[in-house]
Amino acid sequence: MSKALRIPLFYMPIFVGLLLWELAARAGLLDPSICPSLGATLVAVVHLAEKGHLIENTWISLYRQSSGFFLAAFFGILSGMLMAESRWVRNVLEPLLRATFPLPKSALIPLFILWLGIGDAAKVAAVFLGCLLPVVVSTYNAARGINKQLVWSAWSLGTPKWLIPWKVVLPAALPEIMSGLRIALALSFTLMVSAEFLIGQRGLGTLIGTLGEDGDYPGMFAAVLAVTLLGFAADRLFLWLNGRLLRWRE
Amino acid sequence: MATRAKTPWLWRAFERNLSVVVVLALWEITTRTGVFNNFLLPPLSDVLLRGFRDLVSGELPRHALATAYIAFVGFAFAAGAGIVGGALMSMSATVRRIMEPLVSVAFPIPKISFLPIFILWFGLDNMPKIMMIAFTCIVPIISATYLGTTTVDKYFLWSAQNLGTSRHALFWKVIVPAAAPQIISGLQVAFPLALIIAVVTEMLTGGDGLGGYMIHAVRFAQSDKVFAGLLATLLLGMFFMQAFAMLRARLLVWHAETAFAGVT
Repeated sequence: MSKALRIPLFYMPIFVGLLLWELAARAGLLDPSICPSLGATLVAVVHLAEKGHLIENTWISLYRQSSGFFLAAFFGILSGMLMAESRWVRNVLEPLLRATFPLPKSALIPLFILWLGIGDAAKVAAVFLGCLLPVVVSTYNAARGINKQLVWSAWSLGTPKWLIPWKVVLPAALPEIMSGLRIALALSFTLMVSAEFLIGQRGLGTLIGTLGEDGDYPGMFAAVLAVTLLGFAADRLFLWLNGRLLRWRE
Repeated sequence: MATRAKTPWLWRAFERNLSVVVVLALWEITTRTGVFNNFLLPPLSDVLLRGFRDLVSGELPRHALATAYIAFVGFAFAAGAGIVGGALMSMSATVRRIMEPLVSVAFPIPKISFLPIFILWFGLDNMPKIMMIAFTCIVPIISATYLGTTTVDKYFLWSAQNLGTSRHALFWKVIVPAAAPQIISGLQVAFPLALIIAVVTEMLTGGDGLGGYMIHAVRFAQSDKVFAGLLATLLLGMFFMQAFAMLRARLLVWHAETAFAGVT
């Protein structure tokens, strides 16, 4: 089967589900006051996009989500690597990690409201801290679990010691780090939406909330659909990038 | 010998958590000496005192129980449906063809964005929260069960079939136990999500629960309560994580794996 056909065929059950949604709505099985049809939702998407709300709020949300996510990725990989390479860093960070890991990260949102107010900073901080620990833990476990022979070989071939973490350990640990990052990416969207639900001031989460309060349910469904597509697209982009980055494996 | 073995236990616990002790001490010292604003960061002792008062008055236990209740019910629902769903996926090609794209789309989307829809459909009570938690937790449980049950060692299957095991018994007596470590790992990934979602839904809909307690405290500018709530949430998370680790060790007592030791 050709590749062009395989992807739509794979997603066929979803298209069937969407079709059933529309048919059920047309047949009057769904109460239109609480469940608008797919058609009405798509019309509302176009409507929201025309008024500029959708695009503008999408950019705002993406800005918050990606700032938090990339900061978490950078500091998470850095501290995970340092923990794996230096006993001193490990002794300091490991107890702190163990003590804070069980906290459900969304519980920090009230704290950030208290500290940072209701602007962008509180939302970026919520995404950042929520994603940080999974990245640290997966990097640390990955870097400790690599095949030690790689390090010994590089060492005996004369690689300077300070280059080994960067040239040997990190690439060897990359597959596991990437799967940690993928989990963090999904989490970053969840935290972004949660923070925007709770702390008003624009963004897709806030848009969903205000449209719901206004009783504009097709609009609300449209905004939920937009968030869903955004999370999905980010994940597929990540998988594509992952495939390219790890092409040297086998 | 006995006394020598006894003393280092507490000392080792202290040594192993030295950096936590240092951070807590710094928290108390800097807030008492006025380095940090006491509203933004109340002294640790004030937070503990507030936590103790709300514990004795029954306020914190009530909220913690409410959070634990919705997280657990939503999670249990997801675990039941998710294990059955994942198992069906590995047994039947039709089910697999239908569910695979759904799971692969549901994994990355921020499911919390459906919360206003769930509130619209299920009202403001516990129901939308529980449904939201179940919806979020079911995805990793389905995929862990599916992966676990499809990658069972072929020799187990052949041996059982050779001894005349029926298809039905093969599934429940061989495949499911063999996949148990992976299924339980899926449950261990899903439960923290249950708590994350429980706290967010409580913040949004108000009512009982630690999320509601904290968001209420922020609105009334009671910063010591925010921290007391955070501490209580952390303890709840630790309790469940520990309980899961123990349950795993108990359920997999027959299994050769080295017990999963939490984070590190």
